Amino acid sequence: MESLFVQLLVIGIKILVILGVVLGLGAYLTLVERKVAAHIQRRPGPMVVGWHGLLQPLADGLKLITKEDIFPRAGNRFLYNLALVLALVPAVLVFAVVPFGPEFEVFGVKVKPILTDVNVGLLLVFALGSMAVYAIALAGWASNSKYALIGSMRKAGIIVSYEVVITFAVMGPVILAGTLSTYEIVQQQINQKLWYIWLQPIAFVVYMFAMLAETGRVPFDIQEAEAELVTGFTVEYGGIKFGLFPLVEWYVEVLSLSAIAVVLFLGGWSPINIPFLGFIDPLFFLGPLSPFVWFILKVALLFLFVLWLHWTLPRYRIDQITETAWKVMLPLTFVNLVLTAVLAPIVWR
Amino acid sequence: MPWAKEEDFLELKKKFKDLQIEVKPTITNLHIPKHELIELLKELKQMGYKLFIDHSVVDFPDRSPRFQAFYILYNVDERKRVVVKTWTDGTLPSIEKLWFAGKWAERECYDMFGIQYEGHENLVRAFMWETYQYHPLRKDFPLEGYANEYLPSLNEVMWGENLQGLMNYDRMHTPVPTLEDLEITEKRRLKKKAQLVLNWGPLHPGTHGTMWFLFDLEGERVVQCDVILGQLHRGMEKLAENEMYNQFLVYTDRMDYISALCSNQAWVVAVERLLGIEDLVPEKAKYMRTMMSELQRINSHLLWLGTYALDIGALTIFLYAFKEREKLMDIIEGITGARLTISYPRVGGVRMDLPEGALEVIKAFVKRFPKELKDWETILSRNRVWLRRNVGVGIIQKEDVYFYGLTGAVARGSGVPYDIRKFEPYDAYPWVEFDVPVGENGDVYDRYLVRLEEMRQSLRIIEQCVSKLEKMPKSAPFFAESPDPKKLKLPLDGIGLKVPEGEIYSSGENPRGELGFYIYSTGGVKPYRVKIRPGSMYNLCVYPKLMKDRVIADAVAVLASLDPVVGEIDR
Amino acid sequence: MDYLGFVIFGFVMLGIALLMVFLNYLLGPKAPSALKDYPYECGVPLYDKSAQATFHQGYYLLGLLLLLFDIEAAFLFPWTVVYRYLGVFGFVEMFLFIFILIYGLLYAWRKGALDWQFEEEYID
Repeated sequence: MESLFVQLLVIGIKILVILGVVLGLGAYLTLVERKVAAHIQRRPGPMVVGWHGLLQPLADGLKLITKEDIFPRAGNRFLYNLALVLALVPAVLVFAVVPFGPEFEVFGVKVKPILTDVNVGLLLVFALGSMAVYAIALAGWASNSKYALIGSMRKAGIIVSYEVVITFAVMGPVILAGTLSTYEIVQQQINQKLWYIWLQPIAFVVYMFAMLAETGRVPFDIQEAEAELVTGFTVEYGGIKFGLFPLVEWYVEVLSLSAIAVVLFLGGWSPINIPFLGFIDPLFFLGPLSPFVWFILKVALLFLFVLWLHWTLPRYRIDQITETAWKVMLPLTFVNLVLTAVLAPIVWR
Repeated sequence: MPWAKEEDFLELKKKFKDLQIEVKPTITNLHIPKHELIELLKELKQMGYKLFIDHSVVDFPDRSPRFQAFYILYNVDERKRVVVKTWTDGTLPSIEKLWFAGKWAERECYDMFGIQYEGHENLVRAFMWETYQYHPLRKDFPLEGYANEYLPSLNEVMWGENLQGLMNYDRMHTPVPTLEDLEITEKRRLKKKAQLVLNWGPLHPGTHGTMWFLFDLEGERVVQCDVILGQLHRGMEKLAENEMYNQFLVYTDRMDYISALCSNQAWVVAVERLLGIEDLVPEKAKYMRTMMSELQRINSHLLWLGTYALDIGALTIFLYAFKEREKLMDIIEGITGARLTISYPRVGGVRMDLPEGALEVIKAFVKRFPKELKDWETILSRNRVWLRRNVGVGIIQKEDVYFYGLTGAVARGSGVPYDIRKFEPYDAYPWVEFDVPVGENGDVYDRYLVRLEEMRQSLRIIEQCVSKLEKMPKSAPFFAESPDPKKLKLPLDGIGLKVPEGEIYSSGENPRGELGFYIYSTGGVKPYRVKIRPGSMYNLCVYPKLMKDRVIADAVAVLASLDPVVGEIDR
Repeated sequence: MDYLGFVIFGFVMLGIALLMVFLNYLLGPKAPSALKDYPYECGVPLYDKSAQATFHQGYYLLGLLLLLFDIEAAFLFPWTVVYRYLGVFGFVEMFLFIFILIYGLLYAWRKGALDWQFEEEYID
């Protein structure tokens, strides 16, 4: 009985932490994005609300939740709201299998900083990731607006193409690690003294491409393409509902997929790696906190990289996107898979 | 003046017995009866007069037949222009087989004058909505319109307030379109044959203004496309007939509001030519006008570059371009006192002298700007995404340039070196050196490169103007002296410019194509008829053809590369 | 028991999502007007009243291919996990499988199934 109680308590705390990180940080990432974009564009960005605009996300949120609830005529109200639920829930649930750091002990209880360390963690990520397409397709359909419809159709086209690519891209690291559990994959990289990016550069690049496509970031942001579709599938949403779609797509999903990229390719919470020799930790003075800091640093780096691309590149056209996926990316992942299968025994020595 | 001479048409004279050739210093007219019009135009097209410039009519309510129609054509190879004229009482043969651009011009004439065109495939109104009953440009249409619709104010409707005192204005208005009217208009423009008809515009960020496109979509592919104009129609030409020459200057600001100085210049030069005082304008004023309108050209192209990149998704370039544009705006504001609606040139010169230090500021800008331009080119020109979105999209063939009456950067992007600054130099353009960039393939990417290069050439012109102006004494006149003030007054304050009888077509090279003014003067302080040749409108008329069988994503790229401004299209 | 946290988390998120759905209804003002719920189409009357019609998409064949390749991916995942214990046998077996997969992809490519499907004969 005691242990169940402790277990539930630990789960509760973990959920609170994840929610805090994901939704709180997600909201603040809007500010980060606006600041980064502003500095890329040689302007200061939000400066009025709070010191250097620090309270801006709160002001935005407050504004969004006190907006009038408007529903487009002749739309389908149930599907319209279901789309929002389907967008938010799976995207956040992905964080259940993200390992934030190594196991540690607190008050005699061993805690893994991962909500559910299951042996099919990676499959869970992609299963949940595929749910996003339902949300967007439903949102477009239920809004009864042509712009929304076109936007959602485009998004579905992207997911159809990059779902395959991303699945094949992650097979390389899985072969090397020999497990699908996210926690174990990191552990294997630490044991083998190797970040998988050194052996999987192709897979990493393909994964990053697919990640941009799945999250609708530039150069793949055709589902909202302001200049063509105004805001695409969210055009009929208002208030906090309108706010949540980009929050989920552009921040929560980018964060979760970046975290998975860090887990698969960049050695999770491990410090800087010299292939096959070991790890160098310039942050050793942080003691037990150092792994968590490393994890956050790597995710932040990937996130900033995505932002950098977003505010530099133009966007592709839908047919170009799908053709790249099937004609360039997918063959590349096959090549990578065969190469990995040949090279893998070196790593297992 | 690039007008055709009488000897060019001796052959034609043999063929058409009723042809009368009228050569004046400001214009060359070919008068022809209506039944031979199409034959003559065909013949002229074969002679090389294949670029369609403009068509409209002049209304003489007291005469019979009532309307005088004119067709302006241009021979690009020999650099000659000619006007074909005919009289009609309300019907004309359509020239849609010869020039597509004529189709749009005819729609406008039908809308504004009620001329019926025989053989026109789709004779619908150009600017007004379908259920509108009048033809506003006819001389018997009153300037204030027919007030026959009751339009109460919002306060009255919502709270039943009775307005009193000054607020109690006349609530009778000229008709405005209701939702039903717009629906009828919409249905008249397009017969749906695919899956969805999408309204693209007028309130849409991608249309660069209030343009209303109808896309008939099969999936994302555009099966057919049509444009509904008139959201910004203000009746400039009607206003021109009721304003004095100098007063109309301020309306040219509001046509192509992004390049006001160029429009001003084109109008001022046209009036000067009509007055015959082009040579009296002092050199300094000419250099100043040229310099200012080249600054404006860069300014306008920067706005184009920014919005174009924005449309294709590169938001950052938009802000970079606008930052430079802001500096240009400051320079223009410092010299002219205004940023958007400038009205700096005047008939006879410019409004005021250059302020202290203006040339230094311009010199600093000219020195710094190429670096910025190079930065943007590094981001865009060789970018793979950019190339894939631009190369091979929206290709305009060389023949289509003539057929659709395209001018400006759009024509040059397709390899036709049509530049009024070279072909019919005005102000200081004959004295400065610059090149005219032309494209090879005529796709969106070529138009992009042409415009970028044009900015560089503009810098060259500005540099030369600045060095010329620096050498001039400070006391040099910037406004023309009238040789005989009793006969010809040249006032700066905008009143009392008496223009002799006559007619002229004169045009200037705007950033968006040829902006021409056909002025018909019967003497006096006001023109009898002004036809504005909007470069944007004829450039836009190729759009439905370019969009056929392309996807929506290309719609923004193609539209932005044509770079229309609604203020000029609708006038 | 492994999935306990996941399930709890799922329900918590469901609650939050439902809250978000009704938040505007609870907190926002209510000022209905005649045209407020008019679907956005650039501020002009709709040509088609409904947007829920047939809409041709160019990726229909890609969707079918996705099904095939995802199933094959599902076959491959178990192999990737246990590959290190299978030795040469596993390598050859799977190499054949991937080879067939690549052949299938090439076949689809050759047939033009990977291109964006613009419908050629549309209603005239």
